[in-house]
Amino acid sequence: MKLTPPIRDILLLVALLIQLSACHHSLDEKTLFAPVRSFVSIPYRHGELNDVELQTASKAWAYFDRTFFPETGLPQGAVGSDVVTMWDIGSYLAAMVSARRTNVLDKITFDRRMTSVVHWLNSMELNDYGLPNKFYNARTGQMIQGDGKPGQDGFSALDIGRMLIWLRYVRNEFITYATAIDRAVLRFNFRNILDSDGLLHGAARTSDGPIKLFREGRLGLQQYAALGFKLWGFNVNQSLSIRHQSAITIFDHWLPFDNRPTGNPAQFAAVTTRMAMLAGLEFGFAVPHSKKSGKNSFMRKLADAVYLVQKARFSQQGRLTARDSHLMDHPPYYVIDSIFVNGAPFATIDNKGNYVPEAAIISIKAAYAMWALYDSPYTDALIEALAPIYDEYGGWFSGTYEKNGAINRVITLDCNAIILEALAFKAFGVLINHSETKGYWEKQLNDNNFEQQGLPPSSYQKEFQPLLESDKARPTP
Amino acid sequence: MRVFLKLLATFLISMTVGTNSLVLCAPISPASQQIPRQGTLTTEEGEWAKIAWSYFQNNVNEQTGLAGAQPNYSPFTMWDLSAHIAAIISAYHLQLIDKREFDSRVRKILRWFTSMELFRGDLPNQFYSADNGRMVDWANQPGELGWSALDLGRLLTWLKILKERYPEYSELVDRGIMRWNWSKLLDRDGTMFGASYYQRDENNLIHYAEGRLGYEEYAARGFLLWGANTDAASAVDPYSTITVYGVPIPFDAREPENLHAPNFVVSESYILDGIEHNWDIPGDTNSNVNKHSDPLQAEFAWRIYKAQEARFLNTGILTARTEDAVDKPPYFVYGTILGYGTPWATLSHEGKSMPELACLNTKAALGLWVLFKSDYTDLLAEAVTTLYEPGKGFYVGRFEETGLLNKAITLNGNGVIMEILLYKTIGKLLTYSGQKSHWDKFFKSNTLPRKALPPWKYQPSITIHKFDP
Repeated sequence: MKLTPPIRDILLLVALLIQLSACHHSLDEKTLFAPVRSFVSIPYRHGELNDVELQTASKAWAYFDRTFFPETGLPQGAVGSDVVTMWDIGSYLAAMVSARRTNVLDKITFDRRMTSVVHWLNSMELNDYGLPNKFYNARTGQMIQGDGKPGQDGFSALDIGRMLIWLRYVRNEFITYATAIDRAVLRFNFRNILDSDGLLHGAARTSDGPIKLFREGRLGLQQYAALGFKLWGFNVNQSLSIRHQSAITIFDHWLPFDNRPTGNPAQFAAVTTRMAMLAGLEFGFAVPHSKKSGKNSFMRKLADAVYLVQKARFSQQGRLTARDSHLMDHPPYYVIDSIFVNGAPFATIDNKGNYVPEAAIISIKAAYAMWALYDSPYTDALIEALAPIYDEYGGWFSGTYEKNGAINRVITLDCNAIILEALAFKAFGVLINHSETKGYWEKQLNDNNFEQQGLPPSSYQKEFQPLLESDKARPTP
Repeated sequence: MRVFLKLLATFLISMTVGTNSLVLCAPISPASQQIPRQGTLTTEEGEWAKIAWSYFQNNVNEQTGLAGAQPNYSPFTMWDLSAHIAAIISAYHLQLIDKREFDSRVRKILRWFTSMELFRGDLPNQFYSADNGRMVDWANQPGELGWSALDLGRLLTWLKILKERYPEYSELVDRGIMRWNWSKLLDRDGTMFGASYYQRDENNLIHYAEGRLGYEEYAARGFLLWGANTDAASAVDPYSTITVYGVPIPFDAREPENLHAPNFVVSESYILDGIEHNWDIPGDTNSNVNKHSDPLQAEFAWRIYKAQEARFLNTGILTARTEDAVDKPPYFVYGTILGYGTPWATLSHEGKSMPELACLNTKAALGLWVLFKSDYTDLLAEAVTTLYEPGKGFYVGRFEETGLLNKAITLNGNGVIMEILLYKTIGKLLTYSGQKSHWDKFFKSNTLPRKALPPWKYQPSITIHKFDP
């Protein structure tokens, strides 16, 4: 067919326009991956706790009475396991504050518990990086490796970040512990855990043996943990910015995920419930000390997506879903029970990346996090389904297996802390307010120089060394 | 129009959300003047009184009516006895005990007081045992040690408060004090003397001028109340100041002649002077808590407060310092604002520096709280009022360095907390009935020359020689 010039011109113009607009789209991720709905209009759960909820809180707090070692001031990481991480210490602080607020914990016990854990933080051994080790033995307070033997095993910026969030909160809210907490944090060396741009580094044993530093954090928890460093005065803009993000549609819902390779040591970019919801419970999805509200933040959208996809699985397949990484009492012990990982929706993998679909559970901590943040019949149904799974000796079990409904009888610190957080969230709203008290920390940084430790951040963070991204050349999935 | 309203509403909502998230804690503003806290106790403060009173519910010996200085430690001093009397009076006023129990507790103490053994038959010994009321040493072994003029000075203050508030006990109180031999207690210039056996050698009793700036002036008030001349003891000179965080802290400029006169500057003497005497001259019937007839002492107390507030504002460390017990050796330290010229020194009785034992002290914190209403003392109260053992009483404090609890529980600490709370409800603790008592009437026409009583008659002829090997 022969086109007359004007028609040909018009077609060319249209083609050009299409091309241009496509170009424009590919440059702007936000437009390209625009979700069907930008946020869910489900309100937070809010109101006074009823008797059942107060009992839930007491049962959760009972975990901390059950697993507490008075000699060290630390609780077990899980019933029967003396291993405790800095993430757990952060959760423990969160649990104490939440239990105190809901009046499940009395003032005196709170004071004794807080005194002893803060004292431990001041006297604990630090590893060669001048940071809290990845694992400690709660019974003895000593540094241990992942296998329980004495020794060092690197550190985790995500764990330390969560602990820093709650330490900051406690020191601002409870003047009694402010100086001691500041002293404890002043012991840390921040030069290896952050770089000048504010990217987080961890240190872990690689598959070939030695402990080495690596860039730590994947979408969600990276942003959450970075807030801990931000609260103590570090610049973490690079960690907070949302990059390396792709999206997939599951049950017609847009779900963002981290597109970075797994790397060595392995970091699976799994989408789990906590990745956005901790930031919701604790910060209302906002960045502290910024003027932007959390209402339309990326973290909020991420949480909404995580909620909607899980809810959709229920409404379309009739399967209750509340996914989060969790522990089990049989191999492989630790699984990442995800909404999306390694290209597969609702995949459950162990920490080597092997699929273990039979390990999938309806996780009680994921359920409570969603219950607090989304006041909906779906979250009511989740809680109702999980209501009987507590241990009479104290604490809530982790969840029920999806495949057969059996109880996952592991009782962890993390679970019970998040249940307490969720309940406190219902009663009092966003857990961490933005009030700041100037104290020992500010005065010390003002008067003294801690150059070795990279403090104050305003003077030294710009000198912090970045890590070379050795995984850059690998293809992204 | 509707759209516009909707937009406006959204805008307003986002504004409020925005401001909520930016609310910052009000900064701690330094106090600009001394304002005492006055008024009925809140429910929470009522709880504090109950906690402090629980010490006296658990540790008073049924037979003797006396209480040891700490749980499971029977010896007590006259300073402790004063705190015990203070606690009973406070408990009665705060309606923790009824008239009958009050009366029974006071009468037991006075029964003992009017028949107690005296050191060499002269004056109350340094320690007595709550088990049997006998003279003991600090290890609860029978024995005599000497006397402390500072302890007796405080006791005289509290006996005066007791007899002026409850004249029914005044005769017993007077008779008890008339048993004392005043001839070695105060000299003609009005210097207070304590005495101790040197190295427990009974042939070697040493006499020394006791008390330095702070405690000396406070104890002297007690003697002045009973008609003694305390010119030398009440005089602040010679004193000097050292500036701590811009606050001139007064300290005694005399040489520390011996271990009985360390010139440590602590909060307790100024706090007690404030709540018991309202920094008024003895005999002043003023009951206005905002006026002080001894303004220099009020000023000194203000400086003691300001220095501690300034330390918090400059270092972030909550500070309320005083001497007190410790739950580990050496069991007693002086947490000072200024000790032997060093700011914030924590010293043992021998003067050894023990900074690791520095405490945020419960009674000092509450004392500052009641006398100096401020943001800072709000924080102090918040921080110390969790420091108690349910059913046992308040702990001494919290260690500054480790943040751990100093789990010693003391009679004096809990007694002082009771009188602090009483001060909040009724103001100045020392009031005058205006009645003449047995003491006044007896000495109108009688004298007890061998006891150098009354002091106004015999004191001008007393000379006491310092004796210190």
